[in-house]
Amino acid sequence: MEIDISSLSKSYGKISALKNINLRIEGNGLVMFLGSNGAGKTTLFKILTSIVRPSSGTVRVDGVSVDSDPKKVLSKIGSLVEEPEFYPYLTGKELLEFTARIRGVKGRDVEEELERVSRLTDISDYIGRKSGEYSRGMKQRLGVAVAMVGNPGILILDEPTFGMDPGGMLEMRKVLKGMKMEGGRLIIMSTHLLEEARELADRTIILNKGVVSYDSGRKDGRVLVKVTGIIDPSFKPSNGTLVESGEGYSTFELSDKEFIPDFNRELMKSNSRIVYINPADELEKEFRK
Amino acid sequence: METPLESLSTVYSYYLKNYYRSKSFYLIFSLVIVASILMVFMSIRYLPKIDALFSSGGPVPAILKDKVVLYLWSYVMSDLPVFAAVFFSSPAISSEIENRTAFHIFSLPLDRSVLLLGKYLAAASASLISMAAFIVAEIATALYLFPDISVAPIFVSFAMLVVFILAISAFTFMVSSFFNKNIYSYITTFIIYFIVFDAANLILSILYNYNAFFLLDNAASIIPRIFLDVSPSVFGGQFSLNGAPLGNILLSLSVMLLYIIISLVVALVVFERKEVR
Repeated sequence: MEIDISSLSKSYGKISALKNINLRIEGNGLVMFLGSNGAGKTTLFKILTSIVRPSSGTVRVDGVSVDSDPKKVLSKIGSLVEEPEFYPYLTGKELLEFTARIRGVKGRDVEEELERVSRLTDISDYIGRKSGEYSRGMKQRLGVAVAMVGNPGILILDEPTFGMDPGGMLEMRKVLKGMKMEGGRLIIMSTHLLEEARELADRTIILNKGVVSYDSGRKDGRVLVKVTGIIDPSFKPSNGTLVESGEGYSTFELSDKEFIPDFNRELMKSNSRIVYINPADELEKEFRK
Repeated sequence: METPLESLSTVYSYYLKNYYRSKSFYLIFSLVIVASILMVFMSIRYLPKIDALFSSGGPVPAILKDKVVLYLWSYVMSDLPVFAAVFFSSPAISSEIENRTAFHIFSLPLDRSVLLLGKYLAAASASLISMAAFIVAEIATALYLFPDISVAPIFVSFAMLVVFILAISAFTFMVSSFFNKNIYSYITTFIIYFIVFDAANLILSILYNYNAFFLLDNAASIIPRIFLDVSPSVFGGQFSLNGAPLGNILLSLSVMLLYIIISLVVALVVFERKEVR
């Protein structure tokens, strides 16, 4: 599976939700879009799922443009965008059946498919009830199950733990981990919770005010090192720069991880009083920006 | 993936299920039953008084009596699809946006034309089903009061009713496609049908002595006019104790079919471009 996002922008009137996004997502695993509210995550997901059209730029899934052949693209994508709402007089089972049939699952396979996704998302207990009677957490789970029906190669999940109580969040993360463990698919998810990204993501992309401000999949070799202790004010590493300094710690950015031994050597030679050196939490630093 | 026809069948069956389980369906169904009971009561209680409706002095012939009764039934019946369509079709597209179900349905591998058509057929079917009690009551009453009645005009009238349900449903789908909120859709449909159409009708007939045959409510008046060619909504309109001539039936049929085609095309064009912010 391969998603190619090229020069993608989206405006709602005078508001720019996405500004010239360029990304390439391929293979399996879980790619997490991290960002605060209004960062552009949901807009990006809406474009990926053909709910809105881009103002400019293209999104291609396995070489096919979402804009020109949405049906073909959507046959490869299962999605849960925003808080899920379903037809209130249909039961969870009927909604799953409906989705399965639209996705081309036929005959006895429908029952098997429903059994599989209900088990994975743990919704079997209430699948026979009308969705209008579901709580928010139940709807979220049903939404994930609906996204999984037909076993699409790409799953797009927009803040699937949003609005859940802590217990529900933990349960949902367990479900997501289970899906990740199952393998064989690309999961694209969004969150505004840093710990969720740390716990689940194979690759994290931070969106900030409609632009990509960080991508852990970017292979530019940069590395952050956090030094706890008192740093000699005259210390200047030959292959890096001081990027952040706080009470009792300093963070350096090195242009490549191969310079870490040199950095350590130079630091030892300086008049610094070091407690320990470890890789800095790059994600937190970028997210805080 | 399903073929377009399979998808249409799937969309139709699940939407119909969602419609006939809804509170709106039970509400309109109950109202139709009340209307049916009132009409049965009216037919049996006041049939002997039909003579008094005509000032000729002599007794009304039996053939005219059954026409009058069927005309009155069909006259009431021709307004019911408007209410049913407002219940089922007015929010058809706007509700997808307002209730946020569009996030689910728009992201499925489903052509929007198939979605629109499937939903439209389901809404029209729900309207028709909700009126079943009235249709059954009309036939039963007619056969009870007039055992020798010819059923052909009744079936022509019902056929016109079905076309009208399809036309008014298509029209309300079109209105619904312009809005993202159900309330605007409901109000606009009512205003257009009961105020704009009536006003246009009056203006054209009073000021220009012109029968606005192209208005949907005038075309729908063919449902009772199958029995007696009387148009109370047209100022100074025709009055005949015979049924409407074939030419008028075909004209009304053509107008309603045009409403179906034009409304669905416009609804589809708007629906294809619909975004959910």
